[in-house]
Amino acid sequence: MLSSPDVKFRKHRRGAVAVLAVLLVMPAVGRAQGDAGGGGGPVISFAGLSQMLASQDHTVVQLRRFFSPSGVTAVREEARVQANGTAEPDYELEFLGVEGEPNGSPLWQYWDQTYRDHGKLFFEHGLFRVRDLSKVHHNYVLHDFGTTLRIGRAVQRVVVFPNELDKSIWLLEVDIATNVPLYTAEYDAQMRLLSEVEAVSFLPGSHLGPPSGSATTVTVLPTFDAAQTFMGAPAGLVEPLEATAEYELHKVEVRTDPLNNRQTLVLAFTDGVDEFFVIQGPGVPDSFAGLPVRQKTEPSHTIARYRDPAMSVLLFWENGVSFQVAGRGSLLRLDEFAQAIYIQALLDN
Amino acid sequence: MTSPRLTPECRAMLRGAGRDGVDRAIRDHADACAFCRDWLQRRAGLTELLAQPVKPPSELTSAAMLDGIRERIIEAGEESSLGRVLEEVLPQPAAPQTAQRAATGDAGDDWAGPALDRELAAQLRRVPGRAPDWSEVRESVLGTAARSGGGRRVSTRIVAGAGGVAAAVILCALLLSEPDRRDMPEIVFTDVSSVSGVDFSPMRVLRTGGIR
Repeated sequence: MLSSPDVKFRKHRRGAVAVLAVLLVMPAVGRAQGDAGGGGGPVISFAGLSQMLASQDHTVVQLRRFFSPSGVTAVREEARVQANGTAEPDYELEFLGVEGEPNGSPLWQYWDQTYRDHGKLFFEHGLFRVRDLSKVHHNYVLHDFGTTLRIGRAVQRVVVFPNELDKSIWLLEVDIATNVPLYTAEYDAQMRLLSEVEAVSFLPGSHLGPPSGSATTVTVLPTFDAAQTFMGAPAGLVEPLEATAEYELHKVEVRTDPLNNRQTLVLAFTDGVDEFFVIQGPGVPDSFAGLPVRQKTEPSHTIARYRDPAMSVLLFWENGVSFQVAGRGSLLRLDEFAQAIYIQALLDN
Repeated sequence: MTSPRLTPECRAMLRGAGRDGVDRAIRDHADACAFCRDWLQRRAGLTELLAQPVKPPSELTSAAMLDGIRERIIEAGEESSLGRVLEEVLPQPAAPQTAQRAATGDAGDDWAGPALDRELAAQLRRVPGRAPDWSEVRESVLGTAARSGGGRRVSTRIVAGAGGVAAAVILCALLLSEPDRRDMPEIVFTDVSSVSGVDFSPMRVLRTGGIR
């Protein structure tokens, strides 16, 4: 169900008060800039952050922290990036270990396998990226909070603040020489920490080894139609007619599970920084078929919704295809978007 | 400094202070014992202080502090199971834009069917709410009949006949044509406590590493 306007306004007001309180107590040198900075001192801009992947080779060892009900797990990884002039550089993301865990322990092995399966996901979607330079200027503001040091390098501390408070706020410490973020923290409007990546060593330049086989095959395609053809045109796939407000489709992928060769279509939508996903899996049985919510005389259409401060996941099935709409926990508008896709799927069949 | 040595009388006084019937004995002992006399004096002073209400600091009564407390209570209530239940069962207040859209003839963003023509919608809204008197209706009908006269009876029959044929044709066409629009399906949201049963969820992997 959609939030009532009163509740939505109240939540936005609380978030705005919380974030404004944080910004007001920051040092007075903080100044907002659209893209170009003021006079004096190094300038970090959206354009510079966008160009970083296309032009800067680098090797960084970083700690990526995962927050779960059982606590915080810090995983050490090494990212080696070789720029190729495009927004999709060549890279390797290698799992190095789990902080506080001996090599080979069950937890260590679990994360080793996780990185083999999802390392691409961590690199391409688990770090701060300027995914669309034209959109980011409309949807975000960059605030400069001065210089500091991190791992012995001069960095500029900036806050990327969204124009709509149902998105994440990003605190970055960007290496002044290379525009590579050495520290990334993601907060929601209530200043809850959602994700954190912290560099512990950095080298400009990289050397890539021979490509290692990934457990999951990911194929990037230019359009939905191309992906549908690639998957053999299975019945029931839906191309969303339009995304919600300022988001647009920016990436189409087909993931192939090596265990059962099942293919999954992943559509990624972005507003320039934030992302949400629409995942469609043909040939998946309806898990809601046996639930009591189904009426005896007429089938009801149900969307399962999971939401916590970190993520929103909406699930439904139609015509043998499982649908999943997944994004940030604060992005309540995903409910309407999932509903629109479900209706589109029902009317198409 | 060594602590004073308490005598049995001191202990009896400390145990019995304030009880009815022992005050005389306490006074007699306190007159003789400096420790107990001081103790009684301090006790009386503390009693006076405790009887006075403590004024809270001004920061605790500021509007910003109270607003923050109220908002935290509201947030906790909204995020609780009770808040979710209330959100589902309570009727949604109509947005201000809904009334404005209704006044201008717009059906709203969530309406996928055909929109009512603006002029027709405006004319429908101008229909008077009061039903006319029967005398007014009777006079109008009789007046129309008197003005038309007998010469129009033949043309009236032709027009009525043509209208009936047209109505029959339209009715047949409607009955034979298939509906081109289905009723909008009802979508129900069901909240779940985990997504552990989902094989692949990118957000779960990004947030928790896929831990179930």
